[in-house]
Amino acid sequence: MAEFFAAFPALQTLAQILSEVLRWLVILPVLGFVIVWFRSMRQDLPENTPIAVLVNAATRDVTRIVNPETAIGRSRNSDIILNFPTISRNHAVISYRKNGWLIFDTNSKTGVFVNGERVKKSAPLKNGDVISLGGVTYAFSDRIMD
Amino acid sequence: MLDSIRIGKRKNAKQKLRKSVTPAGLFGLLTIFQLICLIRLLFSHRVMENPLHLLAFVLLIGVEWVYYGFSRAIGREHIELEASAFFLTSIGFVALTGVLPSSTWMQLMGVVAGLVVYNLVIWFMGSIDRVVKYKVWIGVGGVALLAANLIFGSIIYGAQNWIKIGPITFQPSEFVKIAFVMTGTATLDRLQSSRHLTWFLAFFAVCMGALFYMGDFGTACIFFVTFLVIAFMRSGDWKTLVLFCVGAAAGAALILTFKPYIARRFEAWRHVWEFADTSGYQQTQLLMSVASGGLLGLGPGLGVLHTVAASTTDLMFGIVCEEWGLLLGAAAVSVYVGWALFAGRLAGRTRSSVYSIAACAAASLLLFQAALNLFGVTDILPLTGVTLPFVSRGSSSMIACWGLLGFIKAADSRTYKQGRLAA
Repeated sequence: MAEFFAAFPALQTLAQILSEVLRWLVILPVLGFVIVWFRSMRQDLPENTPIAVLVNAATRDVTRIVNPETAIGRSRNSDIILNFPTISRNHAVISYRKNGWLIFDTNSKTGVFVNGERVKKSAPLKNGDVISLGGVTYAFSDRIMD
Repeated sequence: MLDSIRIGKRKNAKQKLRKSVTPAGLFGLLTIFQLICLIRLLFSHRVMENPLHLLAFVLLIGVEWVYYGFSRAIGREHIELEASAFFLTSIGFVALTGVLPSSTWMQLMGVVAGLVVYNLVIWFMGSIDRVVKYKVWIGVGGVALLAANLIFGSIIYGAQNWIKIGPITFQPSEFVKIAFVMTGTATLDRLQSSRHLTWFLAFFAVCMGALFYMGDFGTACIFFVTFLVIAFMRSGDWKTLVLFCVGAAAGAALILTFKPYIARRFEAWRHVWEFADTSGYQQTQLLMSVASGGLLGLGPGLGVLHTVAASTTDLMFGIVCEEWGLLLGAAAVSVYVGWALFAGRLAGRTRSSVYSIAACAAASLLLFQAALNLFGVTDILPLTGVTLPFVSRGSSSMIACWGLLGFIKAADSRTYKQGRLAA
């Protein structure tokens, strides 16, 4: 290409102009891509809509479950924090799997009970089941209406 | 008995619908950028000595659009993450084409292999039960790779981190990164009992020991930071992190005491101009090249940084800035930051903590690796010889980066079939 332009000086000037124009022009798609990309990454993220609730039997407070896996415990890392001495740091996990809702006992000291029966490792959850953890009792419901 | 619960709608001012950006638009902008670069490459003497190498770049554009079609065909509508990875790959490609055109073919093969690994990781992470079931085998595979490297590895650029099989050389530690994130994630999932933590700690210790023995301190740092992220996401306990950091500092001090030659590798740190002709040569050349490139660059093939050792791997950021401008370098950095922000936002919306931990671990690994490379070559941190993700030359690095990106993608519940809520 160098030899080609050497034979045609006018074209060489044109090539230099074109090269300079492209040098500046490349900024536009780069900036455009970065801006559009950042914008698109923020949009349409999955929303945290409730998929189940726990209703406190004593206070009738409703706690929303918004994730398919929800940890319950005394730890600040838990999704539902129960700050009672009878609750372990990582007490239980309510999880939605292919077979439906399950509750897992994650090595709690006082245990997890579903409808009065102690959960050994995991147990299925159905709408209306009563969950007891360290003296705190909830009713589970996965039938939500807006 | 509860029949149903009526709950109030949460009013969210930000729920006002905005017109979504289409993936085609994003890929279109990327293609425009690539075409402009392609035309600019035509004016490069070095490239036009053998213009056939430009075909690799053209094929890269083709691979992108084939992947776009594949994604739409399987119903994967949100492919912003892949678009950003292709953007970084393109930046590396245009820089590489200008300085070492013959290497672009291997880089293209790395991209194709990386896309395969990427989709494999997404598929594998689709089932938590599968991840938990095979975590031990994945960990064993990672250790086996490192062991193979210790036995058969060759020393290149001071680190015994290369295995050569015929004409092909690859870095096992790059693939171990994928195993590390997967093993750590599955082991520290909140549903696991505490005894499983021992397995991950043992795996971590083996990886770190092997990397220190190989002399690959950069990768060891990356693994350590990733371990901290995983451990913090599991425990939420700052005290545990401080304990690990203190332990690491004590370990580093012991190593430097018994192996002082390792400290000599960092003698130029913060004093590169005093060692401009010796151990600080790479950094000083890069700093001068970045300055000479300015905002828009000198033009493809017109830089001089490519004459420095390891320029297309460790110093790739310098080549990008020198020949294509600091603006393009800054755009690349913004993508790494964007991934970390995206992974953080996804962490609270995933189907399980497995995905949150994996996404954040992978994103922090990529971000820290990029930071280690950028800060190392600009003398803010010691030079450790790690590559710039997706940009530097190296098929092993390219494949591993795509694999790690798969973890971030797997955390996005939109990746899998619509309406499939369960993990």
